[in-house]
Amino acid sequence: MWTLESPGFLFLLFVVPVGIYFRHLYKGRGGRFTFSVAVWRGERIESGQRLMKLLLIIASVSFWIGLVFLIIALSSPALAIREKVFLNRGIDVMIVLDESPSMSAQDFQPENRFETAKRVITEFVQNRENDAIGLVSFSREAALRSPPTFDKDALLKRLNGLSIMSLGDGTAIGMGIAVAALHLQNSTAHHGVIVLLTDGENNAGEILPESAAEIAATLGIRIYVIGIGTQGEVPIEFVDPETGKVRKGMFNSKFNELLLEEIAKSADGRYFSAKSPGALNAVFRTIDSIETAEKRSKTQIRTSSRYQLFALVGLLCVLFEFLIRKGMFREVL
Amino acid sequence: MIERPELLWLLLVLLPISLILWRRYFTGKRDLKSVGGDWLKIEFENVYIVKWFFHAFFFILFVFFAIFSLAGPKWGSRPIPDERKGQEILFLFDISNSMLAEDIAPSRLRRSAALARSLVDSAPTARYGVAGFKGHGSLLLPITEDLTAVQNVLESIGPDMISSPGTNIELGIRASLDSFTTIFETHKYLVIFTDGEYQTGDPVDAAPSVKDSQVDLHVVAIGTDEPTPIPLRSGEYMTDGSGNILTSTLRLDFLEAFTVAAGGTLYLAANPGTRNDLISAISGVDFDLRWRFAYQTFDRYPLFLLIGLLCLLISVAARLVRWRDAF
Repeated sequence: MWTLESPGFLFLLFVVPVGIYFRHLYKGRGGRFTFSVAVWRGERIESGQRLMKLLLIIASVSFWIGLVFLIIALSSPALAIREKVFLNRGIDVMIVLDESPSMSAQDFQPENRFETAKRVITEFVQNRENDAIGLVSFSREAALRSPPTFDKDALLKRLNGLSIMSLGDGTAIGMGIAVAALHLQNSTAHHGVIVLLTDGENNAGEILPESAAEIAATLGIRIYVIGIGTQGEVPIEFVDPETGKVRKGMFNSKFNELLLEEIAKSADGRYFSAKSPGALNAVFRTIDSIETAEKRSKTQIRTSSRYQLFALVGLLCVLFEFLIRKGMFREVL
Repeated sequence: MIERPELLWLLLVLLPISLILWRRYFTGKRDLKSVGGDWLKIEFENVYIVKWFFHAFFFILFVFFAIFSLAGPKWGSRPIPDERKGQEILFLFDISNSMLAEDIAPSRLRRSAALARSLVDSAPTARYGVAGFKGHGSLLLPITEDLTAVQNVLESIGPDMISSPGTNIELGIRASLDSFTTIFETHKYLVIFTDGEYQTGDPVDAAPSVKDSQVDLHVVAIGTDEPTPIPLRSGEYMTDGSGNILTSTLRLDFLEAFTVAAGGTLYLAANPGTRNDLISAISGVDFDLRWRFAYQTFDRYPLFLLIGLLCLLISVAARLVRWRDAF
């Protein structure tokens, strides 16, 4: 949005019509004198150079436009940007996402579990304005993809870059929780939250999920566990990152709900079962509403001065007129 | 203080303008004589000289003041409440191969990372981010208060983190500026570690963005003037296509030009006091003070632009006012 920091200078625009009158219309103006260009009863000498007349008109218009631009520059034009600034920070959230091959199960039509989870997480992240959110993914191993950050663009870029089985085959739930807890331990937020999304049983990693949950609980971190997917035979399809080949097949999907409930319970959280994309959406909305933090914000207006642009255009317009009149037409005054 | 002193070069345009006006004075005198004849010559000439003088003099003054105001003169300041809380510090590393040179032990890049780590240790309550540049700029770690993640990235930083060859600091700066948090009012710092050897992208082009971004810039020049070979993992040195060993030197001239244009501070990593200077510049301020003030410098261009406009109007009026009934 454009704004003027000293609009009072715009009153100087009244000079323009007055100037146009005295410079171009007032018959008693100086800087010129008249003399006859015709002999007695003879024919008047007509200038046939219409192009030159047009050029003079353009030069005069350019001068007055230049003057208008200079007056606008004087009134300090600026681009104003409204920004919402938070006065307090919310909580720290770590998303812990399972990327084992079973997450490619196609029981979450039209996408698979993994892509649906990414989409729902994206919506969740975009709604959490003043919370720092991080991302850990796991399969046979666990890795920090993004530390808790307010830079949502960077986080979502990393989330979208995740792929099935990039950390091997297997499900190391305990490792995922442990890595998330490690990176939340120094948080200065009111409290930290881990949101764990998995569709399998823990079958890899050096840390048991129960132990990892206990560590998180001692650090004051709450864990929400989402068991994603249906149980039973489901088709799976994914690209093996090692060979680049598409792997298809049927998979007997099962997960230990008791263990997942135990993890959530030991860390003061809740267990949710999401058997469809709609259910997963509802689960995230529920977590969103449970984990609310006070938001205090203000709107601030940041301005960026643009007077130089107007002053430069104004100066160039006036110089253009000068060059046409003095350089081309050799005007005496 | 002049915000953009390079614009003062535009004052050179006054030379051709003065020449044109001077030339028009003589041609004007001749034309008046040919139109008015000798009997009007003296009467016309006196009026003409006075009018020409005022017209030309004030037009030149107008151009001078307009250009001077364009350059952004500033002086004087007033305290304004500074409501920023906390610090965000983004380390931007040059991770091109030349940073592997060992003229600064153990290597330029390792020394840079060590310097960054000591900054993290000195201000553990700040939020940190890490970015790198080679052929393009990339955010390696978004700004976070997770110091474990920061230290891990600083430990592992190396040329392998970005695959594109070359050195383009401009893209690195742009990637860094985009990653600062905008939802909180914080003190923002961009600390660049580089040897100044750029193959593409002019850092001076990115300078206005830094200046407008309310980010404090600190540039750490790392390396020496001595041409130094670039070691490879194999233990050999990097060579060109003909087998000649490539060397790298610190390009302080580039870094000085960029730092001045961006309004930042330049440090030499080889100086023993650099670490302390950097720490005191970034983390030495007590941010827990209840009231802090920042100083806002007054823009003075309206004064010069107004004077310029008045000169332009006087220049026009000098032509328009009929004098002694002559013209």
